[in-house]
Order: sequence, then C-alpha cells, then structure tokens
Amino acid sequence: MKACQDDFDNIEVPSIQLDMMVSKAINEGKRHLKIRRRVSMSASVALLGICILSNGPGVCKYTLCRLGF
Amino acid sequence: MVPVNVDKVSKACNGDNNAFSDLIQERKADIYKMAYTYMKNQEDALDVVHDVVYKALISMKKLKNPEFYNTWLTRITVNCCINNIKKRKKLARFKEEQGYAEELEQISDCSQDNGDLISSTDLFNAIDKLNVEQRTVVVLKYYQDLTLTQIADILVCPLSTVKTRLNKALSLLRMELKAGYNESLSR
Repeated sequence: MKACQDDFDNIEVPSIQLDMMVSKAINEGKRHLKIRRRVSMSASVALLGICILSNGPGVCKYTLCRLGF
Repeated sequence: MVPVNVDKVSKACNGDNNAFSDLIQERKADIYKMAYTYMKNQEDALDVVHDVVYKALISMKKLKNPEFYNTWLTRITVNCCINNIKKRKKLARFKEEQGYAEELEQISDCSQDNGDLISSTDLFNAIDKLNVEQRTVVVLKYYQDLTLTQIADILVCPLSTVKTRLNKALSLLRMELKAGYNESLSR
C-alpha cells in the first residue's frame, strides 16, 4: 500500500485553476450568505408589518407613534 | 495532514471570511488530491473542490467543535465526491474514457521503473473496481493515512463496519491483482 501513498503524493495539482476555483467558490458562498441574510431580514420585517397591520388601525397608529412616525 | 488552528477555525465560524480563506488555502491541495482519486480527471476534481469550498463556507457556522475541522472537511469532501459520482454516473465510463495512457504517462513522468509502473497502474485500476463505500475506506486509510477510528468518525458509522469494509476491499484487491498477475504470466 506504499504505492497508494506514492500515487496520492504524485498527483499533480493545477495551482492556477485550483486557486481560481477556490476564489470562485468563496465568492459564490459569500453571495449566498448575503442573500440568505437579506431574505431572513425581509421576512422578519414583513412578519412584523403583518402583525402590526392585522391588529387594526388603533394598534397600528399606536405602534407607529411609538416608533416615532 | 495540516494540524488544526483552532483560533482560526473559531474566527471562520464567527463569519471571518479571511480566516476561512486561509484555512482553505492550507487544505486545498489535499482536497483536490482526494477528489482526483475519486473522479480520475482534473475537471471533475476541480468541480468537487468548488462544491466542497462552497458547502464548507455556507455551513461553517454549523461546525460546533473547531477541533474537528479536518474531520468535518474530509467528510464534506467524501460526500461531495460520492454525490458527484452518483449524479453524473460516470463511474463506468471513466474506465474506458480515461484509458491507461494518461496514467502511464503521469506515472512515467515520475521516473519510476517499468515494474513499479505496471503494479501502480494495476493497483489504481483495482481500486477503481471497488464499490464507493469500500473505495472510500481504502482512500482514507491508505491515501490520507487516517486511523480506523478517524474514518469511522468521518463516515459516521461504527468502527466494526469500517473494519469489515476494509477487509472486504483488501481481499477484493488481492483477488484482482492476483488475477491480473496470472493473466500477464499467461501472455
């Protein structure tokens, strides 16, 4: 099984392509995380809005006053 | 294998992208080599590297114990390799498409003598004929030089299962290599 280890060590690594692929994957991952964060923020805001509006005009007015509008 | 830098892993877990990049830079060659042993061609191996880095970045926060970073990354690599093989169903086609020429060329570049060259190629092909589970154990044990306990952790299965798979794989490899040797003698 020494041959296995030698084969593994002898595998040629294409450094340039590998670097490109790694940076591409990192950029895609960052974008994904950014989108995920935005979606969760928007969902939270939308939910809060729905909760306020569904409680009727009185509560809505009161909440908006408390928020400084 | 590169020892785990716990501080850096913790930083990466907390969303530090630079720390994550550094960690990946340290292990990228290992990931590529491991992917290459499964995929047997550069393009697919690079695709696997892409998938591994992407998945690792997205699920970095799920890593609860930074000490297990290497195990965790190896598990992602193995899973990505297996998924790619299943998805593309290239396993059977690789044996025909890749041919022996490329491997022979690559091995001869490493200035091995003819006897080593033949045995090495035979071993490579014999490993190819194992099923994915057995091959994974062989790759992790003999290519990555991991212990059976570490392999069991990576594959999330009992130690006895790993031992059984390894024994079966080794006996299949012995049979395959013996058959190849007898064939070459009869020629």
